[in-house]
Amino acid sequence: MTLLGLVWRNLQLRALSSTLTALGVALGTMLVTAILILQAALAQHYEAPGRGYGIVVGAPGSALQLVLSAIYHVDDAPGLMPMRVWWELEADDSVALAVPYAVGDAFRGYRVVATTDAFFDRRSPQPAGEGAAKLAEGRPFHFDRARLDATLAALGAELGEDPGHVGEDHEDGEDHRDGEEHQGDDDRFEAVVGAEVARALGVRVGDRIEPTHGVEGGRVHDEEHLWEVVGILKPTDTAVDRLVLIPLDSFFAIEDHRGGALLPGTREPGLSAVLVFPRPGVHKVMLLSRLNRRPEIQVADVHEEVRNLFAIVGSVDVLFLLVAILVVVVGVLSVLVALYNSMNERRREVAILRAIGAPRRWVLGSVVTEAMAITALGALAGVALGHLLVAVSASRVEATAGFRPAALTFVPAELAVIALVVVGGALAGLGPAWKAYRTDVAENLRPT
Amino acid sequence: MIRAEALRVSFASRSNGADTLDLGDLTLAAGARACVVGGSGSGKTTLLHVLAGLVRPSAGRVWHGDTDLFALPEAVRDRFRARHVGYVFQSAQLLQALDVTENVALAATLGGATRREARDRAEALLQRVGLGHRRTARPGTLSVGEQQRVGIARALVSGPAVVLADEPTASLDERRTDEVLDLLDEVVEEAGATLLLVTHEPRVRDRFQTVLSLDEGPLRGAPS
Repeated sequence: MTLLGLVWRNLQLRALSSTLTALGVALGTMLVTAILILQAALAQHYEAPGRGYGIVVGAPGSALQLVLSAIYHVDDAPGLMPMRVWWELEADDSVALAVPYAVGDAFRGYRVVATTDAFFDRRSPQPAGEGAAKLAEGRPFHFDRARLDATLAALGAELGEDPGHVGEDHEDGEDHRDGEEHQGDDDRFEAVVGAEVARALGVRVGDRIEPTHGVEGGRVHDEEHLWEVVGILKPTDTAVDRLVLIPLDSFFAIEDHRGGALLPGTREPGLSAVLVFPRPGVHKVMLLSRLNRRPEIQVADVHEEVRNLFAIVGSVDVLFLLVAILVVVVGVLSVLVALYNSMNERRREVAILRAIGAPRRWVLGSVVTEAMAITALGALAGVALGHLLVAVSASRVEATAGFRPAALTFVPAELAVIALVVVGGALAGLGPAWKAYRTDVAENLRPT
Repeated sequence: MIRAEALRVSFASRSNGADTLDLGDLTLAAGARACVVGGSGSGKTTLLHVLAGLVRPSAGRVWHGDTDLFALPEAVRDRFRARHVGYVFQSAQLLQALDVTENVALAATLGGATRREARDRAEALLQRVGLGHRRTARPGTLSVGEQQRVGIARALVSGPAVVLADEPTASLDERRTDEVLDLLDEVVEEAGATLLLVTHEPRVRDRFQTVLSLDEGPLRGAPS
């Protein structure tokens, strides 16, 4: 029978009291753990997608809104920016890759993003700074540049005046206005869906989907415009999992989009945003400097905006964490109170231990160890409950915050939490242990 | 051998501020058996506490063999007690959290035995006191007599040179008193230990050839 054995037996003897005390610690630890997991998931969600993309170009307005809409797909775009800026960026020597986005449709609650095959380019840092999105099944959609140009040219012709802005010469030197050059198949509308869309809606390659007009869902487009799913992306744990990607040319081929996709008060076609991947070196700074001088667009530095976002979210986070830590502290204090009160009943036990040869320090150690054991059990249970809480609330978090925390992800800080709680338990145990240390043996051995 | 010289113990007192108990002198040879009698408040239990090193006397000294007990630092004195002094309480005073074997083995562990040694010794002694079949029982499920047998096993598990017994039969009927005292005599003799027992019961006192009384003032030297 060792000190640890005695401690364990004491916990068993007072199982109900020990369990309730540990539960107090567990509740606080559960909250701290859940917050840490959510923080990590939030950071993964908001930091990872921003990696690699230095710049987002969009309509003038809020830079944070632009980043939120273009990178995280949780807000509406500030407006439309001229499509010609995309063409200019594609031809810019400082740009490695420019990925245009046009949004405005949804498919059963999931946002539809019209883009180009640049989205799948191996140089693309999407979706989490680790290279282009990979397909779990199927292939990328076919982006038909010629059809886009033809559509824009036709749109210009329909609108009559001021056609110069529609389908104008690209800076890459090619003339894309001539609809006759279009070799694509007008009937082919293709889509690639994110992993979450496929999972939640049971979408498979070969299915035909029917996006509705408006991001929040709305009127169905003409029935003849169905998009065939040709690929399903691998899970990325980012907003990309919840996107339906369609080629930009198909977006503008829809009658509904022709008028709405023009910049207000002009005949110029617009885009929601362009994600820009600058070449390494000074190119990002040069681009920012050049683009910032243009009044018709807004340029957002992704890292800067993410930092701003975290400055806002982070302070709320810290507040939640502080409240959770307070709950842990209260739990640990309850260990102190429970043990301190139990010391009145245990004075005789301490006196017996001392009489059979237990040194004072041994008795002190046994009480401190008991406090540590209770808090350790509470902390371990709390960590497990924290993960359970995240698992139970993951869908709710996803619905409200736009990201799904992984309940089985272990955050290294959890180890520190367990260690700190146990150290707190040891400190809390010192009070009752001191009481045990000072127990008058002779007085408490007398027959009652 | 155990020897005490000019023992005095001071107590805080509500009326006088402090009271002093004069316990006197005591010498018991190795293997001796003696009994201390005295009325309530005469200092019987205090004497045992002092001899066990649990209470520091305000004056006087205690030797266990060549060891001056109170010259030792408290922690060393605790270890000494665990190894060399067995203590039998009035009511067995078993730890309720532990089973019978664990109660006995804990004392052996505190006396320096390894876990296995402590368990082996505890089981052997429980067998010896007739409780081999109850070794996993909880103290609360034992009769008072059985609890006292466990208390005797615990006192002897570290092979002490001295066994101090504080009214070990006070809560037992006559038949069980005889059983427990017979057992105590046997195991103490087998261990070759010195036994000093305090009691107020004439029936118990009559079993001892050496009787010391605190009713007539401080003890004086070697027992008659």
